[in-house]
Amino acid sequence: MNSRSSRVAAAAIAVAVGLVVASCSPAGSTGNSSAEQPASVGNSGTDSTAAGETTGAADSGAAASGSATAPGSATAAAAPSGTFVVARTGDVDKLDPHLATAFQTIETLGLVYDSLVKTDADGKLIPGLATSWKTSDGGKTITFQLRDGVKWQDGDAFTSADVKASIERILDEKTSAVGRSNLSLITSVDAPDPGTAVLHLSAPDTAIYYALASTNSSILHAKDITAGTVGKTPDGTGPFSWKSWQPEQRVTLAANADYWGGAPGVASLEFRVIPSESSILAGMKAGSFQLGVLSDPSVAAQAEGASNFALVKQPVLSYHVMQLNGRRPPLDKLKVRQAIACAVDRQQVIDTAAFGDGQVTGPITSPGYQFDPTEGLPCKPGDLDAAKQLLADAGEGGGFHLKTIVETGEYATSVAEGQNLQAQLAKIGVTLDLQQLTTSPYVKAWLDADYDAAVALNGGSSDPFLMYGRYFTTDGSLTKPAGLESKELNELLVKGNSTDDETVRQQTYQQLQKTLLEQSPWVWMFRGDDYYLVSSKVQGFTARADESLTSLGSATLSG
Amino acid sequence: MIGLRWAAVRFGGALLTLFGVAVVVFLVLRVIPGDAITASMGIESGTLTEVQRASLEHYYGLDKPLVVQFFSWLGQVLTGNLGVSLISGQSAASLIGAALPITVELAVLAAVIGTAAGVLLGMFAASAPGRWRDGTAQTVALLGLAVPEFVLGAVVVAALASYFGYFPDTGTFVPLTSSVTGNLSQMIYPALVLAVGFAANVMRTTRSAAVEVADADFVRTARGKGVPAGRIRSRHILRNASVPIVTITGIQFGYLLGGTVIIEQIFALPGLGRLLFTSIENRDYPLVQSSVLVVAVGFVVVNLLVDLLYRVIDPRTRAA
Repeated sequence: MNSRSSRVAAAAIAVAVGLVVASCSPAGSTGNSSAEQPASVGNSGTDSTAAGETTGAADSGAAASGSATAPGSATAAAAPSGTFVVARTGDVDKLDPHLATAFQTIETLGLVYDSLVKTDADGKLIPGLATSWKTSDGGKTITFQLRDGVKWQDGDAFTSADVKASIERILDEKTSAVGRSNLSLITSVDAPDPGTAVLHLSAPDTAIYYALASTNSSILHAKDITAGTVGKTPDGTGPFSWKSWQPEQRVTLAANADYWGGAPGVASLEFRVIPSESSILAGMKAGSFQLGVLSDPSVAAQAEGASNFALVKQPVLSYHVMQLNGRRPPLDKLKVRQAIACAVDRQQVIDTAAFGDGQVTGPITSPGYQFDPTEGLPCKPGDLDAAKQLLADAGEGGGFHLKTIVETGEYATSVAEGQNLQAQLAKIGVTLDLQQLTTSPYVKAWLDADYDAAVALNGGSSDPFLMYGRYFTTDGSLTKPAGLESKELNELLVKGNSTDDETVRQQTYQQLQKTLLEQSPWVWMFRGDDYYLVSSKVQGFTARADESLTSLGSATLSG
Repeated sequence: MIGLRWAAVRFGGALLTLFGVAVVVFLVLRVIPGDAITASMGIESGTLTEVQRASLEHYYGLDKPLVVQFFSWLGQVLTGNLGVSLISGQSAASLIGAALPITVELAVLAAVIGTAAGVLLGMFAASAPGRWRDGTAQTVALLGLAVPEFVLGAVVVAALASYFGYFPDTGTFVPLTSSVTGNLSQMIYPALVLAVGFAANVMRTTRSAAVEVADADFVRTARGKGVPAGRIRSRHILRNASVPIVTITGIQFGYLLGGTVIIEQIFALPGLGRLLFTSIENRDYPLVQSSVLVVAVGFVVVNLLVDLLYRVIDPRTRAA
């Protein structure tokens, strides 16, 4: 689930506030409502490469490649010029990358700060501030060779002291860093010389590279940490430097001409806040923006066939799912969960709720670990007869009700998904009692596992352990809402994460996916699309599954 | 002449109103589930350790008792400090100071356009009650009331972009003081959209008041004395019908001060409505409380002005 903020709650409160003001006022009147805003945790990283020896392929930087590329993606190596304007519905919510949760914040700060390693558009690990790394001591020590000649925005040189101070800041509980749980196996950080940083772990942890690639693990200037100025004015080593922020209006970044990966193709980058997606579409038609970021399929459908911009659809790592609470009867019976998983025709959910934009998915969405999305299920999804038989075998042939929570206002398809699932499951006698909740009450019910079923949009990652370790390992931080404890799932996750042998990882995570589908703690449905409206003047923009906008570091404008 | 007693009563009432608003908003914000931590982190708040949560509660000031939170905020307000936004770290006063002029300008523009159009249409309808012009004007007003602002706003934005290749781009808001034309090119469309509903309400009030006054004895007398029809309409009918018109204008203007959220969203205007909306979403308590207080002050001031205006327009109210 991601955490875009509570639109409807806020709208209701706005109305209530208006009413309060009005009723307290002699003449009286009412308030008003509406709007849009997002937020959530992003993560990155993927694929095999894993620990052990890894490339130091010098300066490829953000110049990744990848899926869905904008029309005319030639790369013009002209001097940085022009202002690239990105329109999106929400604003950054804080300036500290270690605390960032909103997508907008992660997207923006990811262009200002760097991390030790990065991922390319296919989710593969590539060098970042570290040019190479190697493991020793059975995978419990990782030594990073740092990039030479990198400078902070104020001109100071980047050194291993910055790495040490940054990681220690994340690990300090008082920081409340979002990514702390993903780095919790780090016991200490050494900086033996300015160009080398060494991480000591309590156990081998392959997922740590992907955790380190996240914006939440950005390397900060040690001087800023000591001075307590982190979060005031961003001071990074990324392709853009921080210029200004007018809350709820725009963020302006300037090209960092000294960037180690090469100077950006535009002189400045502006993120504008246009709360209504329809208005973003209108602005693109009028040529006011170079890039529009949308999430609502119904708005994106209106963007087809425009003459001055292209619609790019990018499947994302996050996934739409119906979580079942296996601690409550009758969902504690395996066959009941399997019956529900069998009864749901995933494609029908995509067609009705998401205008057909989406891909049926199994539990693992990483491009590096693509397996059959149904292998493990006892029957073909949509097979109602098999589902009814499973219910009868479980002694629940008479049907039952499930309290099902649905989050409203966070993402466009939630309610339609719930209603479609309700219609489909009614055919096998399972009645979903839908409870539509705004974000905060939904999050509370979700964290307390106060539901039989929960329709959710959960964040994905390129690393399977980062996706499911938190839910299905015995010491995971979200085992309660996971709804099911399984020794087998725990063992598979721990095994996959403690090896850097790619063949073993592939086999282990394939088995993990199969076991998840067999045990059916949840009903995995589909991966949705993000939509980018890309002006025909833009060259070199690449949409990514992890929703990162790092390709803006090399995008250019023509005309 | 405004009596001292009248002024004291109104001023005291206004202060009580503001205090009541502050208390209610403070409580409402705390009663709804969730806080700044869940609003900001969503389900990730479930991954926090106890120490992390405590640290965040301290950061957001949630670790203090409610009474302390309220009075520490109120104490700051009384000393002229509206607090600091939990999200951006900027002072609430500077954020509100940037947003308020936009909303006030939008409200004033919409009110001016809406009042002028509404009064003209209302007088036009009242000039021949029950006849075709009355029916036409009432139908137009009904349409204005029936079409929701968000529909009209979205249609205007889409039509401007599709047919004229124009988007009222407010990413860089131009204040009136920098460029009148630049500012108006951004503000006129949202103001017109808001003015439609405003005008419809004013029209209906104007019409019914004018029809009632037109039957009064003094109007008949004026007609009998041979006063020209236009003069009767402006000096006798409109003047005497203006108390309810001023009332409805005042109420609607107050509504606009706190109620332009939807239009500010559609036209991406960084006004007070949007600031308030976003700060509620983020559970940015100091900013919500101070923004609402400013809206409430706006209401109270507008209502005081309306009351004063009554006394100017209608000498009979001065005795009250």
